[in-house]
Amino acid sequence: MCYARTVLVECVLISAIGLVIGLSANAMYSDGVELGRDYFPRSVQVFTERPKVQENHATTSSSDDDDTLSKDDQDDPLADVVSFLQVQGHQVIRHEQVVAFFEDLFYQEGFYVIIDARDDVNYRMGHIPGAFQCDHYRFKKYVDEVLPICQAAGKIVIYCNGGNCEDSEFVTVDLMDHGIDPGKLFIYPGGMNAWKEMDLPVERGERGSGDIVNGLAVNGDGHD
Amino acid sequence: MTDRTHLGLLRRLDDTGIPLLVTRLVLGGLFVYMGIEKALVPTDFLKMVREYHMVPEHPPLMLNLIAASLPWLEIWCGCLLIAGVALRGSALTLLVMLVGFTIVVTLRALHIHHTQAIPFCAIEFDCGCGAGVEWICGKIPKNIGLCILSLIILLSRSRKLCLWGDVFRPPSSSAQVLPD
Repeated sequence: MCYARTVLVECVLISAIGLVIGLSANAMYSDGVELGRDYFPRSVQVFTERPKVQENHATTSSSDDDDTLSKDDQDDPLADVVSFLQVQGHQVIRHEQVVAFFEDLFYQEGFYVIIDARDDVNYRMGHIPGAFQCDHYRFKKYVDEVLPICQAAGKIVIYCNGGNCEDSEFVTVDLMDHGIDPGKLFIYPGGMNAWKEMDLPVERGERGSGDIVNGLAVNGDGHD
Repeated sequence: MTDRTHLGLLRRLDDTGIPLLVTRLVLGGLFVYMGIEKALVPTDFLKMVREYHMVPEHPPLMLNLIAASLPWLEIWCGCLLIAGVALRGSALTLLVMLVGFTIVVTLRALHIHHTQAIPFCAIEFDCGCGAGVEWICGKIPKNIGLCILSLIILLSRSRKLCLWGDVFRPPSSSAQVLPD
């Protein structure tokens, strides 16, 4: 009995010291977990009703209604994801429209902005050329760069790997929390996987690195 | 050979301190490695922990605490084992964690098996253990193996090549512990 108690005391002592070490190390680590932060804000209803798309930036040939996906897109393999995002109150954007944004002169001028919500590894492996990185989990690192750009932009497309990845949704909520007009924010549900599958240009490394290859040449499916 | 002879052999083997040393280095090294993998990108570990749906997301403090502290607890216990400090306490802490991990990983695999109708041994996922994507039928025996290693350390009487094997020397067994 004494033996068991001794071992248990040792175990509790080690766990307590380990906990203190862990929390101290986490507090000192720049990429550590912020204990009070809600990292998964999706489960919070962000809108009470779907936001209206702003009409004051009629810069593309298609109407705003054409920019977004409707729930009636029965053939879309991402239909469930689209429906879910729309129930959450987010605006989603068609693949074709993202391509149109990408090729538009307004993209070069910064009126259209594309944001990659994935982590460093995925971003460096390949992103949409000119896309800004904004990792939800290290939002503080990117907020100073991305926020002024988003404030100046007319439309902002946010993507991650596509499908069930949630990072684009979380970044959308982050930007709204920082005062970006929800009407400007569009989630691209196909994400990087759809972009690469269409063999569209992909930029490797940093933004503006100039290392541009075709999408199918980029290896790896990526992950959230 | 009788059971007593077997016990005598095991005891003599244990008294050399070699089995304990090898077990400490293997188990401690593995936990230090896997702990560092998680501690370097704690938010990735946070996402993995969340996928088990064992801890409520709101309020987020509990989930964040686990992600922030568990990898460091693994590193701490691994270091203690390698150094040979508080062996029984460290081994028991790791054993408790391993049993917990094994239960939640098995429950998650069973959930996938039932909901997605995938054969149990065809299930593979990143369990958040620090070793990447693994087959569940490989993961469970591996965890059981690690539990056995923890038990070996927990039950070993040898304290050879240890810095401070027992922080609190068990009174009932103190007479049996061989001097270093």
